[in-house]
Amino acid sequence: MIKNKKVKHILRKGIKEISHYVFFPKNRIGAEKIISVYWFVILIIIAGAVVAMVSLFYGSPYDVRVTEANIMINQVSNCLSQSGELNKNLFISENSEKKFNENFNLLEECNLIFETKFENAVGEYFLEAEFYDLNNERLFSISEGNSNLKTDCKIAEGEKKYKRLSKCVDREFYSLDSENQAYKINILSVVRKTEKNVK
Amino acid sequence: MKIKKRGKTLFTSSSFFTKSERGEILVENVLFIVLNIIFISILILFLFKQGSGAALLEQTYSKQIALMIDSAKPVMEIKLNMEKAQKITEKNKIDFNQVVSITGNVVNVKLSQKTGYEYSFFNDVEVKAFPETNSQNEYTGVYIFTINKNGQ
Repeated sequence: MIKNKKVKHILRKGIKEISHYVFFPKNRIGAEKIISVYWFVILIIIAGAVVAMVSLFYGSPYDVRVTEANIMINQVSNCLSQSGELNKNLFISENSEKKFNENFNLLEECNLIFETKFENAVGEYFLEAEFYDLNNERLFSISEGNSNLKTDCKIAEGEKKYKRLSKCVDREFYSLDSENQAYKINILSVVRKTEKNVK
Repeated sequence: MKIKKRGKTLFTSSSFFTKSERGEILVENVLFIVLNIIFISILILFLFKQGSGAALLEQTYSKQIALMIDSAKPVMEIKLNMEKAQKITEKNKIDFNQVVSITGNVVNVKLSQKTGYEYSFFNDVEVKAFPETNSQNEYTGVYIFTINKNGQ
């Protein structure tokens, strides 16, 4: 019991030294200990930090451009190659020679629509499909959309400071034509839509 | 009722906050705890409100629907659970039938009178959106999207 009293006394002294500004008058220990200006300052700092973090988190829009570009690649690869065989409209025969069809319309064949009715929307998409042989020699390429967006892909991919640039997704797969000749197809999909996805 | 320890009365149920020094410390502690609980509850409420606001949900739903349409193929019927949206529209007095509208290749989601969010999709298909109703003709909170080839 004697020991306990001593500890209390020291504590009381210590607290008096710490809390200068108290809301309640000095009615023993409790109020001095707890409801001080310092405590309210801490509360305000915590509340401010939480509000700032929440507004930062919810204030910036969800960036779905990479998902969108991936879906576009899926759709294009499905229309260029069905069940592992290249679309027959990709080829034309001239003088009994098989050639790639230069007039192949990617948008029509793959059911794509690139026009948007948003204000200031200028070419939000770019799509390119390149065909290579197994020696990695480029044979043919087709593209649709705003080709200016392609340059965005070459500038520092993935760096945060370039988040306002377009998002690019690049994927490749192999397919055969009707004569069982193998091709490597490289599809590049670029989505801008900066205003809707980046703050 | 009295609680005793080694012959000393610690506290009585009838006089909780009286006289003794221990009693006054208890009042301050209770006040401190209550204030802390109020503060934390306000923060949690703020977080929940921010996370389920109309503007945020509009954006989430419109992007979700646009991506869903992008990955759909003609002659598909997709059901999307939009119960959260339904609750907000009931609060804002908007008919659930008018929440999702699709014009051309743009999805528009509107959960309050003043706001609305639109997002475009690239899949060239014809999409119709309407809310599901039960046998009593009440909305179930589910939206149905039918995807057909353009011009069909």
